[in-house]
Order: sequence, then C-alpha cells, then structure tokens
Amino acid sequence: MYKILSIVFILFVFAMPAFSIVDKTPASVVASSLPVLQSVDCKFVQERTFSGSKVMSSGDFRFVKGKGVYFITTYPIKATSSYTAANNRYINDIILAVTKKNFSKIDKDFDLFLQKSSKNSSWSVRLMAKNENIKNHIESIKIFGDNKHITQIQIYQVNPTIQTDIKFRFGD
Amino acid sequence: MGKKIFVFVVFVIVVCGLVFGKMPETNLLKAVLPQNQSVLIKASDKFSSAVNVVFEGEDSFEAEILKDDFLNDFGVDKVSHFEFENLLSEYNSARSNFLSEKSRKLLLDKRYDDVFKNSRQFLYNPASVIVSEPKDDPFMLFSDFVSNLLQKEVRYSTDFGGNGYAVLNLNNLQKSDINQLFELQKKYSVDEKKVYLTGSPVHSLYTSERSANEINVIALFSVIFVLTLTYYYFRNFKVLIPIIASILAGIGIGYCLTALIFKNVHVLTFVFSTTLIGICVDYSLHWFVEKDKEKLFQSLTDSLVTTVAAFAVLIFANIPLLGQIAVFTATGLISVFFIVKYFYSGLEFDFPQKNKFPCLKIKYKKFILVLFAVFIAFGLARVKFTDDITTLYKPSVELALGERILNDISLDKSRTIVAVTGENIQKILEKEEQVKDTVNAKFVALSDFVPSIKRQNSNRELIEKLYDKKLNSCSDILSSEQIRHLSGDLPQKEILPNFEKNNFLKNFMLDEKTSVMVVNKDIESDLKIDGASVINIAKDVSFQLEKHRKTCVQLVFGAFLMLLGYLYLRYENGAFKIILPSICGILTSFAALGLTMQPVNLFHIFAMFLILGFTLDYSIFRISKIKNSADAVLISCLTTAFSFFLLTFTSFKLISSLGFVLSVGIFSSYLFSLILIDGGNDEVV
Repeated sequence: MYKILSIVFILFVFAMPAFSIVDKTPASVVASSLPVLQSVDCKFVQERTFSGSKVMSSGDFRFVKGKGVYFITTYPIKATSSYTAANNRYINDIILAVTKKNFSKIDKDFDLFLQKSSKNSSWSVRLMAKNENIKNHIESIKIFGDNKHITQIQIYQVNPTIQTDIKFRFGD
Repeated sequence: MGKKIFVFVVFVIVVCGLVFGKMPETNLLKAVLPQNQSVLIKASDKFSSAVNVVFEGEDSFEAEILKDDFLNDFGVDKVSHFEFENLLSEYNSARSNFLSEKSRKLLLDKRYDDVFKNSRQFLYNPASVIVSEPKDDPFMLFSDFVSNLLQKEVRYSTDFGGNGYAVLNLNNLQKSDINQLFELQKKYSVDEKKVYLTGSPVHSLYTSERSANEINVIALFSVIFVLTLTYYYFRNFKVLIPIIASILAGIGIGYCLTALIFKNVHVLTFVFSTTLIGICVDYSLHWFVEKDKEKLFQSLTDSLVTTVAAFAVLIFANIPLLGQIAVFTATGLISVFFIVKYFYSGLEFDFPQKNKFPCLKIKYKKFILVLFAVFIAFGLARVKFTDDITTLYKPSVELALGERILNDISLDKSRTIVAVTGENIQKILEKEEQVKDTVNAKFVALSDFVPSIKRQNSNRELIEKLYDKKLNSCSDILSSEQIRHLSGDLPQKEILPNFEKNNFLKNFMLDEKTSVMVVNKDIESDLKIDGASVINIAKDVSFQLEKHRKTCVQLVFGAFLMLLGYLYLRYENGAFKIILPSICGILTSFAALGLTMQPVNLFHIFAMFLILGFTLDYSIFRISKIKNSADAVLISCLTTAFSFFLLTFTSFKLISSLGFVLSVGIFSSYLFSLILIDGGNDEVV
C-alpha cells in the first residue's frame, strides 16, 4: 500500500511541470492565452453518465465561426439540432466565447481557470459556476483544446447528477 | 347679493376640488374609451409599457455581448427575469404533472412510439438540457417541458441582413430609466455597434420632450404677438393684469370642478382648456373697449350661453375626455363672465393714445364668396376619414428604423392578445387551456408555466398510461428494478401558482380575475369561449375612435340645432345669419384638410365644437352692432388664430393638425362674419 501511494505521489509530482496551473484566471488573460480557432467539420462522441447508467451517442459536428454549432446525431438514432435551437444556447455560447476569445458573456456566471501545457499546444479552461442559480444545476464545465480546435467539452451537472463528455475527432 | 353667491360657490368648488382631486391622467386610451373598456385599457397599458432595446453587432454573439454590457450599465435588477431555477426546484417534486403541449398531444393521440422516439432524440443530443435523470423520467417528458418553457421566455438573438441582433425586453420603467436608456444608447452606439430603442414609452418621452421645447418657442412667439398687439391698441400693458388674472381664475375654477366630478383630470383636458384663453380674452377686451355696458352684457350673455351650450353637448358623447372638456370649459367661461361682471366695474384704465384699427370695407363680397365656395367644394370632395390611431403620430427617422428592425428580426410576425377572465386563478387557467386546445398556434400564457390542477391531474394520468404501455421498452436506459419502481400510480402533488415567489408570473395578469395570453397567430374571429376574448389593441381602439367620431358628428348637428333654437329666441331671423359664418368656417377648415391630403379623425371633429365655441361670438357682437366691439373681436381673433397657427409647426401630428384646423376655421369664420353680416359703419379688416 505504501509503495502504491509512493508511486502515485511520484507520478503526480513529475506530472506537475507539464501543466502550469493558474487560479481563477482573469477573462482577459484567458482570451489572450488561447489560440485563434477555426471553423470545423468533424465527428463527435458523447458520453452521458447518470447515477447508475450511461448513454453514448455519436455523429457529425459542425462549427461555423461567428455563427455557432450544429450537432447531427447519427448513432444510435438520427437527429439534428442547429445553433439556432434554444436547447443549444448554453453550449453555443461557451464555444463561441472560446473561439471569439471573448469571455465577457460567461465571465459573469463562471470563474475561469486556465491550464496550459508547457510541453505542447494543449490547453484547458474550467468554468466554475459562481452564480448561485447556475450552481444549483451546473457545477462546472471544462473545455479542452489544441492550437486549432476545441477537442473536448465536459459538463458536470448537479441536481440531477449528470456528467456529459463530448469528444471531437478530427481527420476521421 | 349675486357677487356674494358667486364668491361662495367658487370657494366651495375650489376647496372640494383641491381636496378630492387626484394626479392628472396621461393615458390616451383612458381619454377616449369609456369605463366598460377597462380590459382593453389595462391590456394596452401592459403591452404598451414595454421597451425593447435592439442591439446590432457584427454577429448575434457580438450583439449579445453588447446587450450584456448595456444591461450591466443600466442595472440588472431593473429587469424582471423568469426565475427558472425557482420553478424547477418546486416542480421537481411533481414532475409527472407537467407535459409540453407537443408531448401531451402525442399522448392524447396514443402515439406512444413517437413519444419514445422524441425522448431518445432528446437524450442523445449533446446540446439538450436534461433536468431529470432517466430513472425518474425515462421519456424525458419533464426535460422536454422545461426546455419548451425556456424557449417561451427567452428572446433569442438572431442574424439578419448581414448583422447580428439581440433584444432586451424591459417593463414598467420610470421616466428616469428611459432617460438613462437614451444616454446609454449614445454611449454604446459606436463604430459597427448600434443600439435602437423601441416601444411606446420611448416614443412618448422623445415626443413629449421635443414637443415641450417646440411649445416653449411657440408660447414665446404667442406672448410677443399678444403683447405687441395689446400695446399697439391700448398703449398700455396694465390692461393685461386683469385679463391674465381672470383667465387664471377661470382655469383654476374649471380645474377644481372637473377634479371634483371626475377625480383624475386628463392631461389632454388641460391642453384643450387653453381654448378658454382665447374665449375669455374676448370678455375682458369687450369690457375695456365698450362704453355701453348694458348693451355689452346682453351680447356677452348670448355669447356665454351659446358657447357653454356648444360644449355642454359634449357631455352626451360618453367619452371621458369630452365630458371633462365640457365641464372644464363651461365652468371656466361662466367664472370669467361673472368675474368681469362683478369685479371689473371697479377697474379704471386710461387709454389716452388708443389706436383704432384701420377701417376698411370688404369689396367684391360675392366674388370672394364664390372663391370660398369653390375652395370648399373641391376640398370637401377630397376629404377622407381615418380612425387609425397610428396616423396621429409620426415617429422620428431613428425611432422608426428601430421599430422596423425589431419587426424584421421578430420570429413571429403575427400576434394576438387574448384576455381570459375567471372567478379564481384555477378557472382562469382552465379557460386558458381551453383556448389553447381550440386554437392551433403557439402560445405564451400563465398556464404554460403553471397548468391548472385539472390539467396536472390529466397529465399525470396520461403519463401513467404511457408507463403502462411503453415502460418496458426503456430497458436501454433502465434496469428491471427501476422499471418496476416506476410502474403503478405516480405520486400526487398539486402545484399552485406562487406569484410572490415567482414574480415573473405576475406579468400575465391584468388584474386578479383577468389574465392575458399571447398567441403567435392572427385571430380575427371570436373564440366562442365564455370569458375569453381576442384583444386587438390597434383594431379595437380604431373601432372605438370610429364609433366616437360618428357620435360626435351627430352631436355637432345637435349642437347646431340647439344653438339655432336659442339664437332664434334672441335674434329671430338673425339666428341663421349668426351661425352661418361658423358653419362656413368649419367647412373651410375641413376643405383645407382635404386639399392638404390630411385625413379627418376624431380630434378634428372635436375641433368643430371648438371653432363653434370660439367664433359664434364674432357674429353675435357684429350683429349687435356694438360701437367698439369690432376692435375687440379682431384682437381676439388674431391672437387666437395666430396661437393655433403656430401650433401647426409642432412635430407631433395630433397637435399640428389640430392647430391647422383651428387656425383656418377661426380665421375663415371671422372673414365670413365680415362678409355675411352687416356690421354697420365699423367695418374692420
């Protein structure tokens, strides 16, 4: 047991320099640290975890810069939702904020935490809900990306506890 | 004795008026609609009190950011939000009571497979907002309900014509808030970003401030004109002191009695009461220029009776504003008459260098009459009537652009308001649901947010049936134990509207027994549901205006006949001669409207009474052949007509067109009195 803990500790310590952690990053710093992202057509895979169950779906994702996002679900059922749909609103706002490097809209409701890799171009921004009303339903949202695209979005929901993980696959 | 009685009556009126009078009323509809149209007035109040701020940016995201910055500066707390989280926490304990319209319809039609398919599309869509776990809501019905509510409340930003737009809806703003909006509009309209303000309160403030400036300039010109004319004639400014004092007393007493009878005196009553100035000036001027007081008072009495009678007819119109104008003006006139009679006798003014106006005979009377006849015939042939309330006001280019953009970006161009009345809130909700079941359209209504108890029970039964038929097919997301747990009766709990906790819900209520629904569809016909009525504010108001216009035309004829009867008793064959110049003046003013392509509206019909009230005096004094009255009549006509003529230059359509009609009517009536009535040797032009 002691050995396992030691290995975990060593791995953790060695892993530390790979990411420079910034507490509660100002929106302006987050904006200036992120790369300019491009419009994209790619595949997505979604995994939603509820208490005791998990559902998966996949399909095509389209992001049009300056406009918004389209999710075209192809598995296990077929469904399309465009950026104009009210349902998409919050995820659309987040993706647009990242791509336009303008966080003033979400800065009011979330604290931003930026993590940048010192080894490669990967980065992540964690949005921690600070608005009490949002806090009752969404704990945090984490966005991962590289120098060209957003690669993953994780949404941690409370009441009910739901975790949504959307991964984007490029070049498939 | 008469003087003492007059002072006592005035004292009682003033004291009671000041004690019982309330703040002036400013709602235009309350001026023209009778009390039985209270739902229309309240609905109009509610919907016309909204301000929509439109934000234009490079795209909708930029527009949204501009909106947020603007709102932060304006004050987030001034906006009434849909407290989604409040409702959600309350409804979660009774989630099987709620169904979206679409899901309910599918369940009623027993299209369970479609319900299942929709639920899976919802579940697998990464962008869906899921508010309850599949183990509690395997068909995502509650999430679907909440999702639909969010779409109803939020006005989404949109892209249109190469720009992005966002809209901020504000309600119940104070005057200071709207001033702040104008300041912020200037601050945030920079470069590509633009802010447009729309809605009645914005137009009202913009127009009233612009009108106030214009009226100040006009008042200044009017005062200069009156002072110049008075000084030219009397070579003395002192004469103005009793004239102004009597007019102020007349207006004060008129206001007090009107406030005593009607409580809230409408601001338009004050505007129309300015006519008192023009009429009351006559009494004073005649007093100062005429030596034969006995003969003067005979004519003054006739003038008073005819004018009061013309205004008294307005009481029968069943229009609050007209009733107030009648009482206000009649009281003011009577008061000034008695002030002149009882208090002027002690005043002595010396006019050593009094100027007479040049004496001129009107030649070619027949030729001039023929010219007028041709003018009237051509003009009246072109007269058109309108009851469209929007023709009374023409917005500035900037405000009109904002309204056009708002209309362009609106998703639902058609909109009907339905008022629903019930004994209590449950009855109201049930009737709303009945309307929704009858009309195939999208709604925004209180019952969307809080269904009636009856509907909640029915929803629960529908979900129970769905579970009974289809729960087993949910094995993709539910364990057999979870399926077993959901089978059977669902928990019963009733959710009632909580207006205190959810302030947003109050927006749907006109009063305790009336709610309003907004339907995204044009509904022309009657709903045939007891307690539910379609309110088309513009159409209903236009209908009322048309009704009043027709009533007023009938009243004008009644007034003419009544006056003719009175004048016949006093002047026998001269009666028609007295009234004819006023009739010709009115016809000339309406012909002028026709020739200038201005459609005649209710307010122009009101102007007929005013022209009649103003100008009968001219004929009475002329036919009486009182020695010096011609000068007084001319001064009175010039001051009154000139003041109204200046009003034609105001930007507010209602005021400018009234000014036009009155100035043309008054001046032409005066000319007709010179042409049609022989005034002896004192011909003055």
